[in-house]
Amino acid sequence: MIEIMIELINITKSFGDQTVLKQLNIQIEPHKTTAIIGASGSGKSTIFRILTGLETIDHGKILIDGAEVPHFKPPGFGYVIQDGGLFPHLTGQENIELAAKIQGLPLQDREKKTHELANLMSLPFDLLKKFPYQLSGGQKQRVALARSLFLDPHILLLDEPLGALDPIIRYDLQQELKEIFATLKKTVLLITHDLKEASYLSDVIHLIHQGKLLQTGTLKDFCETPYSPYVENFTKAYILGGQS
Amino acid sequence: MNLLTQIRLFLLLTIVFLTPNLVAKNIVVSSKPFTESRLLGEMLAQIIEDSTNHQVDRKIGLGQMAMLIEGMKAGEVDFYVDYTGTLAHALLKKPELKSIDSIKKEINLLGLDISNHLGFNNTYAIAMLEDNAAKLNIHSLQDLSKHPGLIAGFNTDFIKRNDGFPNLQKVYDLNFNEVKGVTHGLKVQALMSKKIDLAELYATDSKLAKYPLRVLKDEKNAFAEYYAVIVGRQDTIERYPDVWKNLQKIVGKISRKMMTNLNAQVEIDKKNEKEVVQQFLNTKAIASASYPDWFFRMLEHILLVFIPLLFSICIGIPLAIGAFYYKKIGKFILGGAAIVQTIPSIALLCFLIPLAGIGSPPAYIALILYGLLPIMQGTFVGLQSIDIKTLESAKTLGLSPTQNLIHIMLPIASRSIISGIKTSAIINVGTATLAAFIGAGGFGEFIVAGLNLYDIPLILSGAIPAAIFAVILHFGFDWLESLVVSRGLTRR
Repeated sequence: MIEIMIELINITKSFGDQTVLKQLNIQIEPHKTTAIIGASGSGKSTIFRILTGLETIDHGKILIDGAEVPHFKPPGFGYVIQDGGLFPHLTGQENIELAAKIQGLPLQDREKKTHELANLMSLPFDLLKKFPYQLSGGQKQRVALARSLFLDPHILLLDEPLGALDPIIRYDLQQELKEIFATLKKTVLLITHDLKEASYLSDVIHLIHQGKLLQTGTLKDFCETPYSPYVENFTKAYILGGQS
Repeated sequence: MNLLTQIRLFLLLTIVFLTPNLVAKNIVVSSKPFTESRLLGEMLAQIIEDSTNHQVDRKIGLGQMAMLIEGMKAGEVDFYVDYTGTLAHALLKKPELKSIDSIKKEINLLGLDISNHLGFNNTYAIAMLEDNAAKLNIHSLQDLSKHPGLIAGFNTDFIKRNDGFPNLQKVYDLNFNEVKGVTHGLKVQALMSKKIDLAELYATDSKLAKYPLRVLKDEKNAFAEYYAVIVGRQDTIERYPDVWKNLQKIVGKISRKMMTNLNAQVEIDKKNEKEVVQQFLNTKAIASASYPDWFFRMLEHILLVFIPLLFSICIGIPLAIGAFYYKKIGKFILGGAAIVQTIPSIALLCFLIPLAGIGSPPAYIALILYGLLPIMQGTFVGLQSIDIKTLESAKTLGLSPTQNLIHIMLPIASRSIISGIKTSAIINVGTATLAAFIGAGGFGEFIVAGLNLYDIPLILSGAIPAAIFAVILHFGFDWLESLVVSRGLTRR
């Protein structure tokens, strides 16, 4: 029996008269990397915003380990968005350590942990003394990832983490992320519009369209047994269209 | 004598010698009957009353010089104001004495003393209508010799006195077509209706302040000098040195223009003599050039800027934070502050007088109110312009709203907040100068005094330091910004 950690049951969410998520049902397995993929506007980011507590659901339930919760609570999760969301007035190191500092973790312990994470992210430590405006896109995303991991969350939510980066940097980071995920063994939820990236990084892919889950599986499953014409077209477009 | 008697005698003598010094005696201040002398006498009286423990017996307008001097000799008058020319000519009968030192030496022999002069020479002033003089290009008495066809109007005694018209004729070789005898009171009318071209007035004549007249230059110093000096009994001066010291306050401080203006306030504006003198002394024009008072005005101004600023910060920033979180009320709060800003400063100061009295309290309240809007706006805009992703990052990291405010929002908004505080501070420098109108002090004192007396250097002695203060604040806040605002934001 596969251990189910996170369940989204009949989630419905509307903004005004636009219904973004329609009775969405997803099950997320623990300690694996799960990708949520779909076209723009399909509702992917909304799922994350609901899980992180930035939006509330209209109908439905969220269960973690069988218990109903309104949303994930920090520090149980780490959240990285496309443009990092780094605090511009703090250095890289200060960004990473802020939550821990507020909670009272002493300086030495904080620095030790920052060093560990910097190594993991292949970030030279003195780069962390710089401010976000002085960092490249790839460096910022690494800092954002380190920040999200500082308090050892169970779940990692990454919303298009490589979306704003150059292709070469993106490629490098994909490699690194794969290694990091393997090392950490956390439950990782990844949103991407890139099917190839999803396939490379994740164990399972959920394809969303117009607020509904169309298919769950691997890239191979989507290619060989698409559940709907949309899935078929989507897959073809990404594989054959020379994307990424 | 035995010991007991000695002790009693000692005690008695002590009491006898101490008492006059402990019990302040009434000082008698007097003056001649004309306006200027009365005003100066009143000035001496008010200075003594305000700065010492002595009471003053006023005998203003007692009589001419002869009576006053006799009064002094008899010990019945202590101080009055006279003129160097009058003392030299009429009292000492030595018209050759010109300098104050020489007159002082002679007058000491009479048991009297004089101060240095008060700042103006109230000598004869030959005046013409400004446009008449301009048309004929007459600037000085010498120029008159080129225009023999003019009609002169003089007092009859000026026509006769040796140091009057005959003197003038001799020195400048003048001859007029017609010399009419015109009494003092009708001179200006006669000039204005062009019945006469020139007349003799006094240098501090009130009419010079109000009518378009040109005083002709006396390049050859034909007229004697009549510098105003304080005359005092040496006996009184020795007994009460603090009185004499305080009277020196006006020495060298009253210009011809100032005296003319004071005369005009009484003779033309019909103001009360006591009030005119009181206002003159209160505007601290007298002390304007002296270092200790300038220093205190500067301290007052600094306090007028910074204390209200601190209050504006403590009230404004929380209000703006509230406005940010509660957008609906927020609109009213910001709107309210904006409305206060539109009230003219001087009007607001006056509205506050019935509520807060005069002096510092209403000034501080007004400055606090004026300081609010820039600070509130700076804070509100600073918070509003924070990228929502940044705020959401804070939330998802587990920061509570308060922690978010303190660690993320206010630091990011700090640049805008400091900019608002800087604007408030600099506005305060200017508005604080108006505080002088309601008695709160500061550099505005000099500006107000200068306006009252039409003394431009005096106005500038307040305006320029205020401007320099504003510039210092500008650079000071820039420096503060570089210290407080993260380099990550300013990108230095």
